Amino acid sequence: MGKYWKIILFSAVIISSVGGYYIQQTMAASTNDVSFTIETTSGNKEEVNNLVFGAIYQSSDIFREIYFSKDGTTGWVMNSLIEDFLNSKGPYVLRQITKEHRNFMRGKELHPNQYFEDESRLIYTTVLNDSKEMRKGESVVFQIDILDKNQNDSASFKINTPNQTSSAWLNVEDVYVKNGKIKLLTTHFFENGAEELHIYTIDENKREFETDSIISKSGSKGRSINDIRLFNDFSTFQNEKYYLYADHDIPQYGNVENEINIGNIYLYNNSSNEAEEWEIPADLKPNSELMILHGEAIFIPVFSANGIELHRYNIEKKKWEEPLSFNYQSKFNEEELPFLKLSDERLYLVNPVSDGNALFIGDLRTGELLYEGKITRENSDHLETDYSLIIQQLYSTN
Amino acid sequence: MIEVKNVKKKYGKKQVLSGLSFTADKGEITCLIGINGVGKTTIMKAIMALIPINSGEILIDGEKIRKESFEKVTFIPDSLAMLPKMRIRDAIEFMADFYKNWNPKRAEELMQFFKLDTTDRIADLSKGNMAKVNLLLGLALDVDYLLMDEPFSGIDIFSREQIAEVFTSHLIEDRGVIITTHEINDIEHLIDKAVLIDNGAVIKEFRVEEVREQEGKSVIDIMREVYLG
Amino acid sequence: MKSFLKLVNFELNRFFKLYFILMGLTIVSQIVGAFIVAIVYMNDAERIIYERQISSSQYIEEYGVFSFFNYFNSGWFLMPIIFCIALLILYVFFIWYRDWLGKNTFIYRLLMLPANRVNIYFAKLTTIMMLVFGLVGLQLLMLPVEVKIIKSLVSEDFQTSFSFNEIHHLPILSWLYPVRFTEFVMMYGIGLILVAVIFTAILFERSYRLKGIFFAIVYGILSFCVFMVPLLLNSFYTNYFYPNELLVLQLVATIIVLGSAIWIANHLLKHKIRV
Repeated sequence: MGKYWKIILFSAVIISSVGGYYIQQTMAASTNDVSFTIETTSGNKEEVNNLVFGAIYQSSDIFREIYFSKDGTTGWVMNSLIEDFLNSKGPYVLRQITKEHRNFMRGKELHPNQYFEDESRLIYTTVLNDSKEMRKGESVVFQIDILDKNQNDSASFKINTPNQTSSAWLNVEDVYVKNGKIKLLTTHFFENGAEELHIYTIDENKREFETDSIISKSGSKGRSINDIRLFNDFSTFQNEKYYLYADHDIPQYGNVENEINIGNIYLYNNSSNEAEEWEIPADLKPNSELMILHGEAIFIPVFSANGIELHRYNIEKKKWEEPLSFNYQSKFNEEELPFLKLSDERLYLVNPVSDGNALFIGDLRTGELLYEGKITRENSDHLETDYSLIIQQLYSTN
Repeated sequence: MIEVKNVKKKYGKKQVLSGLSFTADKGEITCLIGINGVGKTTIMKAIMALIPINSGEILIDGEKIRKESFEKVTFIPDSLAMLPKMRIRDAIEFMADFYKNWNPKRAEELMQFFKLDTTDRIADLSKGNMAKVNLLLGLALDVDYLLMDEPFSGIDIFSREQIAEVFTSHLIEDRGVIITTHEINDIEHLIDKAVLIDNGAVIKEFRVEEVREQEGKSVIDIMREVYLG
Repeated sequence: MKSFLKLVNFELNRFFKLYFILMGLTIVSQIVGAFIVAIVYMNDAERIIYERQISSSQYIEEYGVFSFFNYFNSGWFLMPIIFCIALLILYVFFIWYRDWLGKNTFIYRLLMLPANRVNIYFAKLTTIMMLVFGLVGLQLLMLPVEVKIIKSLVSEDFQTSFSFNEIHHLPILSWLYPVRFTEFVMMYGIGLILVAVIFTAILFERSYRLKGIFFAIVYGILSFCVFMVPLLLNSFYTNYFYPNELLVLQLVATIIVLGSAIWIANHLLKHKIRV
């Protein structure tokens, strides 16, 4: 054993230096961990129980995507490549169905817009053409995959559409399924920048193409390009009763402040298959870019230093209802609008304040402010004082 | 007993061994005789699995060579099989370390017999002394079989005499030895069996004593008959 | 196994002399470099301050503070590292060929040892890995020393801080010291497999000589392809495999490549090797 002293010493030096280095790294890293908490200022604490926020954290030269809830923060720790690789990405709803239906979800594109779900089935649509072929003018081919959740088996079929198109590519914006018909709301994009909104109707049982109707066309006028803006939140899998869309000018050169870029606004009714123009009151026109269609109402938020006034138009009744007011004192910065999400009859609002981000949760039916709280960064003594937290998504885990 | 059965080996296009067969018994000195390139060194390397063979079989005490066989048989090649930078004592230490059957007393005995100094570096030794070290590293192992390739080549006459002495001593006694050499004169009186090889095959395999008694011929006589006659 | 350890000990001892020279070279070059870079910086700063009669803070405003990158980007620091890497790469080949060279027939001795010949393969592989890790460890130990030297020579006002987390911004070192330990294992694991495959390729050449070079190349390319299968699968069938499935596939591919390298080496050493 005596003659092995060289190797033993050598190995010991290696293990202690490399091991020591990495141990020290992990320890140093944890003192610089960043995490966020939600402090309740007033209201019902239970409202934040199942909420998960996805946000971008920025501080000096650090830029990180994190998720946090009342229970903790994830995504901060510099995961090893392997952990990063293993962690699912993408919208929360899709992560859930991927877990439940692994085989069906293989190789599928991860945009909630392309999915529909009810108690018995999960339907996925995608466009099969690639842009090279499309530019040559061939007709659109859709692929539809239907998973029967009860029987746990799936079917897949292609739908050829007859009309040739000269678009460069297209997006499936929404899938609407009712009475044996699958309707696909798609945006066609042309090389010159113009867009078209189509609704393709497909017979689910016969698995045949039925109709392709163009419900809107944008054009290019002079120096500006038009696109078609959709004001629905397509991140759920449920049917949207209505689509709210409008012509949208994107001026090319020089942005004149206060220039209103929204043109004519339309409302499409998925039950009657009809679109009609919708008039926005003149006083609300400046806020037309912030319109949200949620459920059966059109909401238009107006922000001020005193809070938010949510104007609402009931589509069934064809009338404006009393606007909802949620009052809070806060900086109002026109450049950085608050994060606003309408979901499940709730309003969620996050607004940056001096020492964190203020969180407000309101009831869309009653106009009551259900919760007020603050999102603050923990462990701030060890960290750079200036940071920004920009909320990107919010979902509920129940 | 080492049995070589019908071994064939090709190097590229050249058939170096073309069905070579012979046996070497323990307790006997078997000499492989033949001109250069006839396959003598090749077959020795083949026995030690230092080169692969194309066909045939080589058995050592009835079994194919395994790692344990290297404690039973050793090969002393005609070049040095140790690092030249090593001192003799380093080489001895190496052998003692790896081989269970290294006999340190015998090594010591050989060092004195050959009048070598353990602190000499192998590379600095004369050719004769280097050959002696080579021999030492093989002889100090308690193996049953010793293969020696040209132990006398390029050695001065006095060293040759010393090495020849080893053969008659107790150092060789019960072991089986296979030796190749050109200098048949030096050891004709020592060998028990002669194997004459030509073109990669055995032409004649005979017991030296028997032939001398029965036919009155020496090994060289037989060689003349076979190669030239 | 004892023979394995003895062989590792032997191989390391064989190289230790050259290794100490390498280590010495690295230490000397890097330490001298630390002194020189710091002193030169201070001299330059002092000279300009004197010539232009400006204050230290004015100097800093114009020319910036001393950045450790000056040192870590310098030849004094990087050249020994590059030299060591180059030498070790050469030794990956030489560790085998040296036993066959010229009058040296030490390979006879190795092949006739009363042990499984694959131990020779494992011993040389382990030796290379230890030599690599030795230098890796040496550099880690040197870094705080070098930083201290520089900090003591450059006056306070001109200094910036340097923490070891910044290693990943440095050239070459960012590769040698991945951020996380799992990545360290991955990187050096891939290195190990590469050396294993090269070793087996060398054994092909040593067993079949000219034909062997061809076998070696084919074997090398095959190993590379098998290793890349999961990656290729993923690029052709994007998103078909879930990440954890890809990870398992990659693990399997890795085991196949390493396992076959070892198995083939063992087979060649036992049955096909030629002295």
